[in-house]
Amino acid sequence: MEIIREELIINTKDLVDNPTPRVPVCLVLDTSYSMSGEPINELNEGVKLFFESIKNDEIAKYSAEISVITFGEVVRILTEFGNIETQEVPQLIASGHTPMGEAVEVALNKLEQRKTQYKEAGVDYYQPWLVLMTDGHPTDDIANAVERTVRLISERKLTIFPIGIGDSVDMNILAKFSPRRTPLRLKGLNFCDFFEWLSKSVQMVSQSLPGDKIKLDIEGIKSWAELEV
Amino acid sequence: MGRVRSVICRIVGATAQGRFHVKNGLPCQDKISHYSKGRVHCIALADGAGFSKYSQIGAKSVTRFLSRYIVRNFYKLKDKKENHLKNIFHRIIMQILYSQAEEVDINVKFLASTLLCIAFDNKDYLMLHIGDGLIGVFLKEDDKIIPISLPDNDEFANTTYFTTSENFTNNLRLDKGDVKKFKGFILMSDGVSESLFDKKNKKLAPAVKNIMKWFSRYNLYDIKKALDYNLNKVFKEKSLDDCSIIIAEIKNGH
Repeated sequence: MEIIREELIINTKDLVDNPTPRVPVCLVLDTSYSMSGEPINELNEGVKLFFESIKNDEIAKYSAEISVITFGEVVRILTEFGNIETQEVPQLIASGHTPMGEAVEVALNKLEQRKTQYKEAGVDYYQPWLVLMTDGHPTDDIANAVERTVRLISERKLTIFPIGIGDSVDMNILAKFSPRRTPLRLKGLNFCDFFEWLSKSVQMVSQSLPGDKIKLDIEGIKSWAELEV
Repeated sequence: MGRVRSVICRIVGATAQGRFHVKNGLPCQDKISHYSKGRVHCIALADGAGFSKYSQIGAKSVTRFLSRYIVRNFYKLKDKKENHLKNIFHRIIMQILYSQAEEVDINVKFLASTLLCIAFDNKDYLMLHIGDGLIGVFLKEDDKIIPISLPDNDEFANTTYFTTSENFTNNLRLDKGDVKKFKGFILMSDGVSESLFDKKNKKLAPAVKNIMKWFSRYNLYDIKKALDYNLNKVFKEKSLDDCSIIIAEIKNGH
């Protein structure tokens, strides 16, 4: 490229520095008693891998924001949305029942709150993601949570990934939350492969431009999900 | 009878292929065009939709043919009411795109793009804008530069509206007015507005004023070189997207 006069080169201090668009991801994780032992250990490893994978991606680490909500004895917000560099990876402990409805409602409230904060701060954002993982059936009323989720999905305001764990999970319940995407059952306790796939998917979103269609890695799903033939 | 004032207008623009497009083997999908006839001038910019590898064809067609249409019909168009104008533009744009789609044998939806366009003579201007990107105006008073049409991304960072969108007329923004207080217009794609538009405070960066100052000191050849250089070396570093800009400087003369 031809050299030009110095006074015609725009100084970066005369530009603006808009914040990176954010993709808020809420992990809503079953930590009921039935997840004790190997399941919760593997889930902990998977969540840790997810955080590390996002942190190590040059673009996603400034874009992805993760919140972790668990449902077991009570519904707990273990990790609030924020800068991933300052977040600690939460440690999940299994106990109690399965208040799934309440957990999903808390997650939806958190996502709405985060979007409001983005709007007030002039920060652009991508469609929020909600990842719902469970190994059983809910022990509370899920009707309101289902209604809200389905409405948001039909308005294209939310993407949900409902994932079933083990043989006792009620996949029909998960399907109620997800009118567009069939819930998938995890292959064994393959949390690490799932969270690796999830982090790559989040990275794709964080690099997308207006008008792009996000094409999830369908082949990659085979590594962690049981797919019916 | 007094003499009619003509408009002396200098127009210059540039485009640069974004890093995302380079990495994915896509051409630059931003296109700019301008057309002048008699006292009427028109500048246009379009950013091809990311979901289509052919959208730069649509962007090129719509900027080229719409700018010609508007200039040739400016005096008929400028006094029409908003709803009527929206329907006219929708019809003309779809004619352009369907004709192009037939020529290249693809579905018209793959020719989608945003569109920014402004036409003017010595008295009036007519502006249209669908999607993201930004239109700014340089005021004679105090040398100010203000945005007159902001990016429209719907809710999410990777969504916007296009020429082929279902609710085209609802999402098309039109504006008309008096051009006498202005000394120029600037159209920029979102790849450039990322660096030149403060989204929180809705203000343009100091660099925009500096760019306008070039017109009083340099010829079009040097300004063009400067725009090419800055799009490729400065703006591209701050955005993954294609970058494009087109500027019209207006000087009323005899």
